[in-house]
Amino acid sequence: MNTDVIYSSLGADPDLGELVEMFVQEMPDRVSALETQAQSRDWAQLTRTAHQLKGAAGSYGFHALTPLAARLEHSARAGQQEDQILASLADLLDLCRRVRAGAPQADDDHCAAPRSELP
Amino acid sequence: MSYRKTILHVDDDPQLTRLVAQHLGPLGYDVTSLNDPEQALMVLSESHHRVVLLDIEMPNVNGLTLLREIKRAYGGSQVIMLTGLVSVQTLLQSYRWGAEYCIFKPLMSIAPLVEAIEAVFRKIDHWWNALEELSKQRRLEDSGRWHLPSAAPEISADQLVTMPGLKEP
Repeated sequence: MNTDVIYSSLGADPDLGELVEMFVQEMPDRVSALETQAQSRDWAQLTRTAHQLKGAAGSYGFHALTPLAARLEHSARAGQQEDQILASLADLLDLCRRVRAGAPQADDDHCAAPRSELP
Repeated sequence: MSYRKTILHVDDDPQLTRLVAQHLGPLGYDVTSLNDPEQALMVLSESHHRVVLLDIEMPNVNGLTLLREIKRAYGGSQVIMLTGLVSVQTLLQSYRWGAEYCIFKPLMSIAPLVEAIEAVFRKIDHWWNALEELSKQRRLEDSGRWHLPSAAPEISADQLVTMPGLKEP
């Protein structure tokens, strides 16, 4: 399992860094919402949450999340097999749990390059 | 023109509206964020937002329907669609129903949105200037002192015939 943390391209921005921090702080709520919606097989709501995350994550500089959120949205909206939706969800949640505020430190060699996460 | 550059941003995602407000505030725009699209028409009726940023895919309210209602009730409000990827048909409908621009999320850069907003406010400026000029001309006409607009340069007969689109006499 990949444990590399992911930083926003805006994390060090003096005007936006604080907002990125809020986004990261609120990420557990998004993760929890996605998990609950999947458990209750509420695909419509899960589609909506994935759609929101797709728009927000990239805008907040977490570009690696966008294609995975898009894949989940598409998969749930298209009514694909449940295991396909859940696999897409698992990939997205894995990345969501690794987002961090701020910017990587010089000695931080565990920082994932966001683009490397693209499928 | 000097007036408050007011923008209403309608998107059900508070994280997105918060980010856009943070980008636009320092640029001098007065942004109202609205996460409940069902309130949009009411907010517009009670305020003077000149520009609306409008998401399309929202719960309970479709942004396209809202666009149509906004243009019908408040035709002077200029609408910029700020949305995730949509179908070609949706994009064309946005255009046909009066949206000025369509900017796609995620916002990899704020620049395209700012350019669209600036262009829309320039359009508003143009109409306000025309309105002011008309009022001025009307006043002059009413007072019997009507003449060419003061801002219009004097043009000689020689210049007239060389201007594109004008035929030689």
